[in-house]
This record gives sequence, C-alpha cells and structure tokens, in this order.
Amino acid sequence: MIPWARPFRRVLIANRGEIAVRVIRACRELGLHSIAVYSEADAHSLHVRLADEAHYLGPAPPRESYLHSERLLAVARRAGAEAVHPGYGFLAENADFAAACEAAGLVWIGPRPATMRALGRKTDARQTMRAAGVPTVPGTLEPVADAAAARVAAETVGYPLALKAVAGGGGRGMRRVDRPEELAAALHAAQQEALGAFGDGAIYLERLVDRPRHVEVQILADAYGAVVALGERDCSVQRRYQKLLEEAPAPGLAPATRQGLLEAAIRAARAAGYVNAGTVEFLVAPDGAFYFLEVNARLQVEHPVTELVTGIDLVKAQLAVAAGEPLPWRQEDIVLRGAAIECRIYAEDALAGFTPSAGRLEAVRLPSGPGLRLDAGYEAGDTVPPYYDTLLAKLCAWGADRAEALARLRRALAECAFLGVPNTLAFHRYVLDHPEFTEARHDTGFVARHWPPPEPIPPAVVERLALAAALAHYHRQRTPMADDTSRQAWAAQARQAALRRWPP
Amino acid sequence: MTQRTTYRVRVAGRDLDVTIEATEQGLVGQVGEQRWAVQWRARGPHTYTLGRGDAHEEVLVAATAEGYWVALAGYQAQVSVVDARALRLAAALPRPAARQERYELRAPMPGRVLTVRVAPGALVARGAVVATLEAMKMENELRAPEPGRVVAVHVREGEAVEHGALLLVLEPAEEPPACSSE
Repeated sequence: MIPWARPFRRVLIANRGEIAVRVIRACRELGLHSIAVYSEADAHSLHVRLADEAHYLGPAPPRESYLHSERLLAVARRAGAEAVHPGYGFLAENADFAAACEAAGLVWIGPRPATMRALGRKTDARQTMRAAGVPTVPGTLEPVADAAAARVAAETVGYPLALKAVAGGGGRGMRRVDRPEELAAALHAAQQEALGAFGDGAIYLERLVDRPRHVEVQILADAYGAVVALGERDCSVQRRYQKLLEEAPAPGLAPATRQGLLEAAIRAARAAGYVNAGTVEFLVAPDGAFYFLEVNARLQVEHPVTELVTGIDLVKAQLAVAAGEPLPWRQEDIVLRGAAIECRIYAEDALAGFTPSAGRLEAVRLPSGPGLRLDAGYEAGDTVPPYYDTLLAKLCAWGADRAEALARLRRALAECAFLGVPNTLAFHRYVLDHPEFTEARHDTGFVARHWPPPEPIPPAVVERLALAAALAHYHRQRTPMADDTSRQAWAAQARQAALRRWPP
Repeated sequence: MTQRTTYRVRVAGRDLDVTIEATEQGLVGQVGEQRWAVQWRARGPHTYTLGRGDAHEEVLVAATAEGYWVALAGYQAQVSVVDARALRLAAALPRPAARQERYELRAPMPGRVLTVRVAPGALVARGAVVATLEAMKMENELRAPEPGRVVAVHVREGEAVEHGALLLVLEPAEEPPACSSE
C-alpha cells in the first residue's frame, strides 16, 4: 500500500457498472469510505450492493441521473463526500463538472479542469502536441467553416480522409470520406452527430492512416511535475471505433517505435501540464510511423491490462495523486512483466451486428484458475438496463508471454457464460483463434474484414446446444423444471390452500 | 421397451432433428447421424450436467417465452424446440392464405429519434433506412423489413421513445425500382 497522509476519506463514485465496482474495491483496500450513486434503473445493482453507502440520483435516463451535475453535487454535499471519482464515460471528461466539484470543495480525482478543457478541444490539443514535437496526423489545425472550406482543405489533406469532431471522442461525429463528391454529405452528417453528442458541431479534417494499429500509452503524473509512462496497450480490435479487445504490451512493435511512443507520451503529458492517470492515444502505420490521436483525460476501460503487466494499481495511484502524494516511482522503476489481454464482454448481439441488448441475467458462470482477472458489473439475477453502456464484464488473462496469455484467455472464455442476454463471447472466441490476431498481423479494420464468419458457433457446438435444449425440453415435459418458479409457486399455493381446508 | 421422441430444434439459424430414446439402459440422444448414451442431471437453478458418452460438461438453461436460452462451452444461443409430430400435424392442415398485413415498425430499444427519413405515402424498398434512433451512445438505423408504402408516421425527430413504441406503419407494396438504402 502507498503510505500517504489522507486529506480525504469519503469518496463519491459518480458512475455505475463495472467501473464503479472497480473504484469501490480500490477505496476498500485503502480503507476509504465509498459512496455510490444510482439511478432508478440501478437501485439493486452490484455497485450499490458493494459500496459503503448508496444514494438515489434520479430517473433512469443518464441526463437525469449520471449526467446531472447538480444532483451529483447535491448528493455529495448530503453524504459528506470529500472527493469525487468520475470513472470513465458520463462526466469523466467534463471540465465544467470537474471545476464545479472543486468549487464545492471536493477533490477531483483526475486532471485539472483547465487541462481537461485544453485537451477536450481536439484542434487545440493537436496544436499543443505539434508545438511539443509530438507527431500528429496530417490535417487541419482549425475546424472547417463549411463545405466549401472543407473542399479546399481536403485538397491539401488528401483522400481518403477522416472528418472528426473538435469536441469529440469515441468515434462520434466521425466520418470516413473516400472521394470529393462524398465530402459535403459526410460533413453534414458529422456536424449533426457532433452537435447532438457534444453540443458543438465543429469538424476538422485528418488524413486517413491506412491499416493502422491503435496503440496507446498509459501515463501517470503527480502534482509536482513527475511523469511516468506505464507501457503501451494495443487496442486495434475495434468496431465503429469502439474497442473490443486490448493487450499489453503491443505485439510486434519495433523497439525503436515503442521507445518513441513512450517518450512522445511523456512529452505530451508535460506539454499539457497533466496530473493524475491518463492515456495518450496514437495511430501506428505499418511502416512504424506514429501519430498523436488524442489524450483520454481519465481512467480507461482497459486499464487492467496495464495493471497486470506493471503490478501497479492505477486506481489506488489515482487516489494517492489526488490526495497530493508524489509518485513513488521513477521511469526506471517501471518494469513490464509478461503479457496481458482483455476481452470486453458486451451485452450486444455479436451475431446480429452488435445490436445492444438488455434483460435479466438468468445465470452467470465465471471462469477461474491461474492468471485470470474478472471485472464484472453484474451478477446472476441482475438486470442489464437498456439505458447505459452495454459493458457486462472485462475478462483479462495474464501470461509469461503473449502465447500463454492467449491460451489462458481461450480456456477461460470456454468456462464463461452470461445466460439470458446476447453478448460478445462468441466473437471473442473467434478473434482469439484467428491467425491474423494470434500472429499479430491485425489492424483496426480486422472486425470489419472478418466478422461475422460463416459459422460463428462451431457446428459441433451447435449440435450440443441442440441436444441440450432437446433434453431440457424432454425432462420439462415430464417433470416441471426445478427452477420453474412460477409453477412451484402455484403448487405451494395449492398445497397451502389444501392444508388450510384441513380438517374439513 | 424403447420410447422415441423426435424434436425439431432451431439453433443459430440451423434446423436440426434431435431424437431422445428412453431405453432400459438409460437415455440415448441422436443428432443427425451421431448417437450417444446421454445423461441430464439438474444441479441447481439453471445449472445442468450434460453427459455424452464419456464426456460431461456444464450447461446453463433458462426457459423463455420462445424456447430456451442455452449456454455451454462458452457459447450461448436461443433455441426453440418443437415436437416433430406436432410439426407434421400442423403441416398437414390447409395453409391459410397469405394475408396482406400492415407492418408496425417499433422502437427496438428506448432512445431518441434522430431522423425520420420518410413521410406518409412514400414507397420504400426492403432494407431502406426509414429512421435513425440514438440509443446507448450509438446511432441505430431502422430499416424497412419488407418493401412497402408508409401509411403513418407516429414520431417526430428529437422525440424520446420507450422500448416498443410505435414509430411508423407500413403496408405491403411492390418494391420500388430504385433501392434507396444507403
């Protein structure tokens, strides 16, 4: 444990699901008091059950609960919170909320609001990085005013290109444009989407890097100017710019490229005056050239793979830095050991174009054994609400090398089930067996190229599923299933009624 | 005495005939050409052990309105099971004439209507995008399941809708010549 004086003891976690659970666990290990918040849809959820106390926020839609700054601040006041951990998503990168927390006397567990603001505007961030000598993707340094201006700028940038939201992130307000005649319509669509998502429709242009890898560097910085890079992660398995599988270290990266990325990330963090945990995202071209993409000014979903290879608990480090502790490590203390891979198990029907799904988890089977880590937001009997991010759980495997991590993860996935909610398990099994992935020849276009395959469930497994269903049906026709609670309830009711009538 | 029951099982887009035979030695299961001595043991809520010859594995099963959720070996599927005899009986009955039914397009999830791409009277091709719905941080394109004519539009752009809310009504029509899907 990091020994530190504790200027705060009561931590409000302004989030839900697996990341709220993750932060609660870090608080508990440090002896801090965790305060959960929940919407109407989450009243009985896992993070509520695990926290030291939990407070109602508002109705299920995020705008009325997890995105409602005033309600969160009111709960913080009422509960006597001293610090706020935002998790990821929701208000995690909202500089106004961070500033409001600080104005209310709460410690914000994240970067300074001014840093968040500067990094949140992608064109500003690109200018800062360029000035700091961090390579950026060729493109415009300012947003384009209209279609005519975009056409002129596109001549310089070149096709194919990407339209990106200045206020953006997560692929929203983003469009690929292959030909000049597509530009005007794509610009309009991107502007509308960005306006809806961020309240800001400004768009800039970037050249599209062909067959890139998505590689990011985890950084950690204290309030006294110390910055360390905790290695890199490869997050190239994505669909619609959303990551599905991540690993550390990035496989097949030339040592010089890797060193260049780590140094560029540290330069980026220093240039932004960064404090706390953050991620510097890059695109790496097949020739090893790399370009700054953006800084995620928060904890990342995929932080566990870095924790597994560095042995550093990032959430506890975040809490320590926010409490004013200096980093206990210098760069030479950061030693990577082995390899770790994470599967994001989403409540999405991978066999039907990753359609979001919701519903009750009738049964859950969790894998165990050597080298595994599971961060789940739900347990058996929980309901996955339709209002939020669809992440069910993150399953990670660590191995002495990538091959062992892969073998462990394959083995673990075969032991895993989230029954009753369509999910991405079959997709993950497919990726882990695909030679392009196992030989690390993949790029960000992998999912679009290969999924779905003709037989996403192996024929032998389909036959066993059919046999199991037929056997279940066969026995159910003869005796009601043991877990058929409705029938049991009726039977018990009938028995009780009969007993009440006796003696006649 | 051997008692045989054959089921038509639909799983992952495939139709399979599964026969369960009750023999004096126990149950025998057959899928296609493959036969095994099988065991089915309930261990807890939704939890079963499937024995196939010498191989045993854990299976999770939950009954649903349409059939079963079944999970094993890290895969899961919604499976429907119908007694093959009942299926044959149904096939023997005269088939009702195909009805010209209106089709109601409903919200597949709660969200906000971003765009409505059609107006009443419009002809749409199969698969044409008729509306987009923002839900769970994503834009979802709603497509016409069949070619048809738009009879009514029940939502406006920007409107928040609940799961299952009626968005628009289509009636069957000939496929328009140009496919307007994007």
